[in-house]
Amino acid sequence: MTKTYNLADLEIVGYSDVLTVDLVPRIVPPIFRFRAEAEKLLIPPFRLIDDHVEGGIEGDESDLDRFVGNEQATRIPQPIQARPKHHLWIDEHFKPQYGPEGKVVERLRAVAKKNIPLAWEAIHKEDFDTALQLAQTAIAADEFSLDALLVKAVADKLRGHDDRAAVVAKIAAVTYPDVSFDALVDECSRVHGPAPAPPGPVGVHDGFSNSFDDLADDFSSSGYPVFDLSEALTAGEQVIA
Amino acid sequence: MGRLQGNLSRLLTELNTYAQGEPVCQPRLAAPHADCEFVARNLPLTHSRGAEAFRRICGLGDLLSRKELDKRGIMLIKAGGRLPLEVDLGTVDCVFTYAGPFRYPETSCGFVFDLRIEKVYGATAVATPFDSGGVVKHLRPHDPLPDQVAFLREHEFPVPAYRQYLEACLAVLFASPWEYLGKEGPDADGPIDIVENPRTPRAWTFEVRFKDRLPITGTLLAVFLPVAVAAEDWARAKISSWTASGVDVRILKAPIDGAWERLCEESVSWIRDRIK
Repeated sequence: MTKTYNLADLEIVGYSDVLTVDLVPRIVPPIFRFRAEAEKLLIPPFRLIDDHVEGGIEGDESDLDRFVGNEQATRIPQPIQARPKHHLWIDEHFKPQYGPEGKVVERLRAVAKKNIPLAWEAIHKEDFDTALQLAQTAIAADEFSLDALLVKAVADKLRGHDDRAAVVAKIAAVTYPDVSFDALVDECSRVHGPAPAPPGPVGVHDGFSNSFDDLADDFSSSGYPVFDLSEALTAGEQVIA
Repeated sequence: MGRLQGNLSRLLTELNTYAQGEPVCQPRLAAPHADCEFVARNLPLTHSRGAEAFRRICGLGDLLSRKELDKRGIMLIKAGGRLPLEVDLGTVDCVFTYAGPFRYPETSCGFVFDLRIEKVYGATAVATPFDSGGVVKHLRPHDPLPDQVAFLREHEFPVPAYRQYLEACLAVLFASPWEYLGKEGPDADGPIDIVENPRTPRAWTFEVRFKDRLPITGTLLAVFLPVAVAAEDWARAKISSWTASGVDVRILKAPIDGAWERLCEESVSWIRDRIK
């Protein structure tokens, strides 16, 4: 029978991952310490269910030392009291944060959303490195961000990295198997790509379409198949849940 | 007869004796499941790592032992403040893989190696019928360290000949050889005296340790990685070259608190599909 533990008896002392700059901000699996037994730890994999933890491996400080040394875990500077329905996440500055599940997910999605128009703007200016970094942060925050994948694919194509763009299409197919991703990439390249070279009038652009919703409108009027974003996002949320 | 071959012969005999005396094993001994040999001979080797280590391994092109990483100044043996278990167990010059699905450590990325690496690199490799790192805390937790080390040495087999013992285990300890891939494990304890604390696949999954390094070029069957890692610039380039060379790249969307479970489940279904 799987052992369970009360969250009220636990505090967070680390997380079971070692993150790079390309992987933050991100929700991470916590490593708990028993408040009444300072040497005793509870290490993933486990399930967080309401006010308790189900499963996990009991260990001690030496285990955590070794996990850190073996690049399996990271300590956090100060212990955090465990709470029901909360997520531990690591922000863009590698600072641990802890908050209610819904708010954390909302916050991370907001980070992802904020980066997208900036990334398109960078692409328009042919600053592909910045665009790719902004998109990567968006994916770290919300791996269901189709817009971020589109940014990556467009940047790859414009840089002549068609092979990498094909990988992005493969990644998109994991979450959005029914989306005509290549068609979206072509359309995004047209809408957000660098300004056309002279002799056309300098600085003229047919309007930034900074969100996927705008693009969907473009598609409906241009005869492209329209992708139902809300349906796809619902599918994504089910996976998150 | 060398030490490793001697261990293999002794443990095969012990397993046979055990099975003869165990009611649940007796009918299996008389009529082994038809797939035992097939599964035992075809299980690929796996290795799971976290995102940062995965990235480094792909950059280096090799899985390196702790000793090699230390020698190159990449990951110092004393980095965690305490010596790793591998130092205590004398396995610090080893690269670790499992015959079967990902088992440990519980991370988010993984490599699946073609089992033919056992023929190429087997001369200096050893196998054990459990996870060597589990001996200290989970399998023989009450023994003093010298006894734990002796226990480990007494259960080391030659590679790839260890698959004879794997086949024998699948035949008599498991209701079906396919149960080896799952989380429940064998329904008979077997003759090896181990404590499972708690019951863990590390107790029955065969570990294959290679000396110093294992290249990832030309040796991989599949790679598993989560969306966020796959999307990184270096990873997209790598995935493209893996795909071109026939490596099956599986990109996983992972539930927030279930990346490890997803990785394990995917590796189990991949192995089932691959070797069926």
